[in-house]
Amino acid sequence: MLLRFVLGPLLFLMFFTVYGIYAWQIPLLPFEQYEAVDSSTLPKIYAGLGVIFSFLGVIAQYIKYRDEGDDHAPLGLKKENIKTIALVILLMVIYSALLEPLGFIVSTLLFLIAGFWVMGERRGRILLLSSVPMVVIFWLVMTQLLDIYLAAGTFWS
Amino acid sequence: MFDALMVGVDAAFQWNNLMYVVVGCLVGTFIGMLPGLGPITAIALMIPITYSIGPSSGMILMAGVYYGAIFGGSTSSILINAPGVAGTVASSFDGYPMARKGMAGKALAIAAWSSFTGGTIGAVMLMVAAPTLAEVSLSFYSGDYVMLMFVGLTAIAAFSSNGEFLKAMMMTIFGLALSTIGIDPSSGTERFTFGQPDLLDGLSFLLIAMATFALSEALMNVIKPDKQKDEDMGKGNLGSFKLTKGDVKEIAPSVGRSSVLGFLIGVLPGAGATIASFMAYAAERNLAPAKYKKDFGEGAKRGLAAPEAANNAACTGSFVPLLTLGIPGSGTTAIMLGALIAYGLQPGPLLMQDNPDVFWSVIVSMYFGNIVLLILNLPLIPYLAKVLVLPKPLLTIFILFFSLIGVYLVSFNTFDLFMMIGFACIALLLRLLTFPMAPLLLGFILGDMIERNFRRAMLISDGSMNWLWERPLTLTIFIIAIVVLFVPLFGFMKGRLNKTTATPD
Amino acid sequence: MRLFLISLFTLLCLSNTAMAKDHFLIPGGPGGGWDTTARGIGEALMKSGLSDNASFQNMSGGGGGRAIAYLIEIGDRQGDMLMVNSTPIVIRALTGQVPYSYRDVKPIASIIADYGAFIVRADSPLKTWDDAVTELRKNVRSLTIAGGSARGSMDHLVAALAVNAAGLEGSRIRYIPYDAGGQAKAGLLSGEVQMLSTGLSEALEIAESGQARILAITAPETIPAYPELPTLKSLGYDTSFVNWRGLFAYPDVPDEKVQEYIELYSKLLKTPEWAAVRDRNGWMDLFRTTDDFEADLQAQEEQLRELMTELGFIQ
Repeated sequence: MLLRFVLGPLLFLMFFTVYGIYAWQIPLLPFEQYEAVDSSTLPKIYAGLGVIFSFLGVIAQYIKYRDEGDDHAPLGLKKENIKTIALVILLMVIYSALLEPLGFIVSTLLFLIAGFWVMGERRGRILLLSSVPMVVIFWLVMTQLLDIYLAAGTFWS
Repeated sequence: MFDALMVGVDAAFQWNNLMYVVVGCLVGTFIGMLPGLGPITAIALMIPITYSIGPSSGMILMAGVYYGAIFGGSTSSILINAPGVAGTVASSFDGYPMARKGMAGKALAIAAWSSFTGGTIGAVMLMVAAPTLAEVSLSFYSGDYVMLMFVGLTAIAAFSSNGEFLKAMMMTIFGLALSTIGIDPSSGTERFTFGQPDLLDGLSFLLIAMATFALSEALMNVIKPDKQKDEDMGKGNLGSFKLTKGDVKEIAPSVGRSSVLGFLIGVLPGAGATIASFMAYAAERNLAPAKYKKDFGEGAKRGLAAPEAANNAACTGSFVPLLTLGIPGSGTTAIMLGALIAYGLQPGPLLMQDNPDVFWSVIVSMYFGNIVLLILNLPLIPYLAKVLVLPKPLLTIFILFFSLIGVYLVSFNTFDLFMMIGFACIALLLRLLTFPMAPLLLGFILGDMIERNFRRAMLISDGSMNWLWERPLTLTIFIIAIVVLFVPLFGFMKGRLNKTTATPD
Repeated sequence: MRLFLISLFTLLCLSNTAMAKDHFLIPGGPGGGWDTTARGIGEALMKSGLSDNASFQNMSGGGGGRAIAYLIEIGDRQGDMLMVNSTPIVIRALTGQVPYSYRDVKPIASIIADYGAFIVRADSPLKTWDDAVTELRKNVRSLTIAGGSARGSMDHLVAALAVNAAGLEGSRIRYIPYDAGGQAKAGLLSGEVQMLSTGLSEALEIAESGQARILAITAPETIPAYPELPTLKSLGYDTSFVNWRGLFAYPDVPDEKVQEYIELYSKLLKTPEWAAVRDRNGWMDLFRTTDDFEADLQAQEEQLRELMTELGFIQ
């Protein structure tokens, strides 16, 4: 499929165009009006270069597609892996959201155990043995040894 | 000079100081391995402890921590592709592929030995030439730094060997663009912040590094598991932990060159271990004979040895402006400067005269620190490498955890975590479309420095570009950069030209 | 299994009591100015026995805004938490970079002060501040003045303020921003720029090593420890500038607590342990409490608002 080849450069082309639009809108402080180089100069340059290179990239990929044809396998992703990764990403988001309310210890424990489970580890003993010591040791080292404050859970206090 | 040196050796050899070096190295290594904590945090935390033990001992402890942290950073770079310290990013380019190929032990050994050599050569150069080098520290103007960073950018050529030049360029510019997010350092205007207060400070290096390297790599392994490699690693196939004579012969010239290069770059206040490691990597790749060159990016021994030697040498070099002029070259040395002043010492030309014992004991302890680091870490390598033997589900989740908590520890901001996850997803997509990650990080790191120095040069010259050719130094580096950038490009185009003309009609 | 649950429970309880008696909220990262100040204060508190336990929480982001938001939001739940802050809180509130000002929190007291200083290289043709003014009179853009922070931030403002006081257009000076004090110092010593505007504590470091000369400082009166340093006022330029660092509590803190704090810190500043920390860092005492402190803040806000409008940093 042609799309698979040019998707990357195409996405970049879109990104740099949008970036460029915003670059032209960067508000300049009054005193910057006199200057040759101001806050928006480099972003504009990057946007310009980016558009050029991604455009070239689209062309290059198109040429490649034309030369090599469509006998390349698609991305080659198995359905079950996609499901796993979606769950993992979801878990990370949940962990980040819960970190401060529930506190470091609880949220990390939950994340680790849920993560292991999603990744295929089902043995209860391993789940606990791999997560609890890690969390405890980490917490001890951080708060007691290094005097770094870890979220205590705004929910509880 | 010799008896002053002996004063330093004497101080360094005292039992308590030896202990401090050891403790410093161990603590530093541990802290360096955790992505979120870097040498800066480590040293900042150590400072109160150092107050009670006196200036020379304090500096010795901090130097130990500094080096330890760099080595710890290398370890996580190599084993799990999570460069927690900007100076160790370049080590992951070839270190991680080596680990994935089952040569984790050897990779760590190369890192340890190269770091040791780099640091030692640096220490020797420091001993011999510190006062004269003070002048070198002050010789670079903003324009020169721009050119230097530009040469550093040419390292992207290293990631475009297989004709993926355009993709590497897109990623580099993407990285440069990302570095513009936040408040502009020169004029204070907000750029691309969309009213989000959390974006005012821009994106943190750690966030991007973790997202594009560690997280996306871990996620990649989930979505496209490499059954063979997983089995190999699971079996504990870590390869030997020693360097053979052949290995040594292969990397020796790289290590030598990179150490000198790294040291000199470290001497410049505006450039440090990060630039040094990238430039050493680029230089070695360009200088490598064909049989080694093709491995760069996939596990070349030289590709790992060069940045490792350079970053340690640069760390040592950054002590030159610190001790001789009182100018800190990096965040870490800035803290050390604060500590020195807190001890009541005045870093600068007077330090060598008034407090030679501090000056020389620091230098000697550095040499020591390198030896101790090697002695301590070599035996640790088999245990460190064992991390990779963990079953994949566990290892992956741990890596995710380390990355997340690492970034959290820097800013204590959950918004950063969400951003990192978002970037990791983007990085994952890009990886699936075979875009290289390294140029992104390179562009991001250098973008900031290039812009600041460029705009400063323009400000000082009141809007004209004549700083480019006003001083011979600037012009020279500029020419080098052009040559390094365009020669491979020229070769690439020539290759394509040949290809097209060679196709029969 | 039961053992596991019990230990987990104990841990949870322990983790919540990790809140110590004197908790300092630091709007920046470890090693920065705020961080060193907070940890210095904490150290003196503990060493002098005035406190059982001092703990520190770094919360950088948003130019200090995050910490302020945090303080406002959970200050009342968090025991004895005080936030460290300094002049930038006034500056950034004016530019709108931070959506909060000192009025959104309760100023308790300023503890130390730093002043601005102007330095040139030892071999510079400018021997006195008056020499510099002479040069600037010919062309206000003739001197390059470096600082360790962005345009529109403190180092720039202080330089503009001083130039204004000489009757010249402070808004047109050539201010060259560097990333940090260290880099700016390198710029000065290498000869890339001609003058450096920085904090007095930093200036003293360079001057004492003989590499540079302090032309003037922005203190309102001559500093007893360094009587040879000319203040702008003593040279005939009627202006001064103070970069204070102080402590803030959450907005609705009860008056008894405020009194408690004031008493605690009055005691602290008299202890030899504090004197050791202070001198070690080159700080100067500036203990001004609640009402006095607020009056100072207001005066500074006015001074800076005028200056920044003139410079075009705010509309």
